[in-house]
Amino acid sequence: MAFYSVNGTKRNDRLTAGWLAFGYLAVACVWILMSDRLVAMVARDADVQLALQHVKGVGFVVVTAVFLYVLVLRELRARSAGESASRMLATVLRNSSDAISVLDLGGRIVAWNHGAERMYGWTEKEAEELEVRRLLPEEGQSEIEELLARIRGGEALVTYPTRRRTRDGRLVDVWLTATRVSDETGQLTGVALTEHDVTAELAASREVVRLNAELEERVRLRTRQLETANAELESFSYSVSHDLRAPLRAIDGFSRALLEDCAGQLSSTGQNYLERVTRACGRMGQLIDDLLELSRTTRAPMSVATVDLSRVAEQVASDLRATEPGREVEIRVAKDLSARADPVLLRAVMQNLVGNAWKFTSQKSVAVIEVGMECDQEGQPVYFVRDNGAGFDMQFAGKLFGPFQRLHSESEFPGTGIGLATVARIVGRHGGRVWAEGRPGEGATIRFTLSPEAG
Amino acid sequence: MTTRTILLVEDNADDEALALRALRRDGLDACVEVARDGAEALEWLNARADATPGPSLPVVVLLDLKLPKVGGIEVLGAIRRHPQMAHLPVVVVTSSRESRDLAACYAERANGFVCKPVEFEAFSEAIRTVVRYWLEYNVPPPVSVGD
Repeated sequence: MAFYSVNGTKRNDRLTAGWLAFGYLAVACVWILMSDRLVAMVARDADVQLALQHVKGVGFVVVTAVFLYVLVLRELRARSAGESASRMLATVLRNSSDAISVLDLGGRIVAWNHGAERMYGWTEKEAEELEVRRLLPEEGQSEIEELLARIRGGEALVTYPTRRRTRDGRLVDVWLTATRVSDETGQLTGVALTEHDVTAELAASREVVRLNAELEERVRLRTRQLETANAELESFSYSVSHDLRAPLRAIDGFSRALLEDCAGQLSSTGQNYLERVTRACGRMGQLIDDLLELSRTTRAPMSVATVDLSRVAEQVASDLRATEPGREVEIRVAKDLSARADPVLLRAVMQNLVGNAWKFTSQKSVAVIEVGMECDQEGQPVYFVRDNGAGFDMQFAGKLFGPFQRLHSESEFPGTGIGLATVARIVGRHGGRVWAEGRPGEGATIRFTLSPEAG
Repeated sequence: MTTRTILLVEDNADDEALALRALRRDGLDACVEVARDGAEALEWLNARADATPGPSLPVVVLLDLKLPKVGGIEVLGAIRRHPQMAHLPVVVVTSSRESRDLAACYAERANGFVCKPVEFEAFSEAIRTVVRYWLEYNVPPPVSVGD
């Protein structure tokens, strides 16, 4: 019941020892027979012969003694080194935190270390009498027989996860490694079991699985919430688009009907009021359209492509010229500007920016609008739209990109205050950013990037 | 020549009054029937389509989308599934500018899609132009055409 390695002599060692002994016997016999003749040949005198015989006998004994000494010393040293190595190994095995035991071929426990004591609750002494089935859970009572069969079948190493029952009935998850134990002749005598407690690892991995599942569930829930919110937003903007326009049309329509059908009964003040009503309806209609456009830019799916920005800017400029053919505006668009962006959304950006520049230069006698590109410190493209129009005070620069934020009165420059908010949202969806520089009366420059690395 | 009709499917009384006003001032050679929801429109249309011989179908249906009981797109679908009305001209006239409505209407083979402008002048002009096109310029499909 202990871990001592058996330093058994193997078949080869016996053969070597046998040959050595035989060689010695042969050499010694030849020496004894031949040396007497040699002595007789060397010395004729009987006294001298006797003396030589003595010297020969003593010399032989001395040589044998020296050999004996060397051999015994070597053997003793080797044995003590082996024993200390065995003791060391035994100590390591005995004190290992893993449960290590040895079963004989009948499944009886013949060795039991401290790790096994700690894990299962039986002492080394108690383990001698322990039925191995006590260690197995209900559902795995045949495990040891199957394991022994595999080892007998020639498998040198068997390893698998399993469960053990402790003295107090707890179940422990273990990783089992079983190896052959054989005697000095190589005959299988039993099996050594190393059982590593993996309860904590299993619990941790179960926890990881549980947390992952929980996270996935949360993501699913959040996605559902977002989908609901999106659907609500969509139905909201649908209602806005349909239901807010209808009453506006009624207000505008009946005001006009009143102006046309009952003009004679209305004073000029009354007619003026009605005209104001219809103008307000027009603005409100524009506001609804702009708000819907803003909401569309957030919801519309994006498909990024390489866009010829110069061409888009030129088209926007020619559209603007068509709306107000009387205005003299110099629009300089840099050649070969290209950008990676959603074409529809980028067009909306240019419509808003160049449209703003067009609007805010309306009071200049020489209006100049410039569309171009620079590179920032990292070499990333920064696009800009510059004008020499009304400009703005830099202290309000932060307010420019919020919806409904206006820096000029409606009578000065018409507008709903949603255009730059739309630009900011589109640029944001591309991962870029937008910022403005300006001075009152000296114009404004809006710059934007379209990728997260730039800016 | 029998009196030709136009069917206006519109639940909003204001829009109905404004549309009728726009059409009245144009002196059109047609009478305008009004249905206030999708079910009423289908009932009226089915009665005419199934009656042989009977009063003829309208020259054009001006169809709003957001209607009580049966929605505009469902009405359009029912019209297209009826063998006598598969080719009946239907122009959707709506406040909606949603692309999904546009797609759904053309998928159901609408003959046109008009967004109602907020400004009355533009609205009147749109209604008048659409009706005049179908009434005066369009040649209707032969009677034998039908699925």
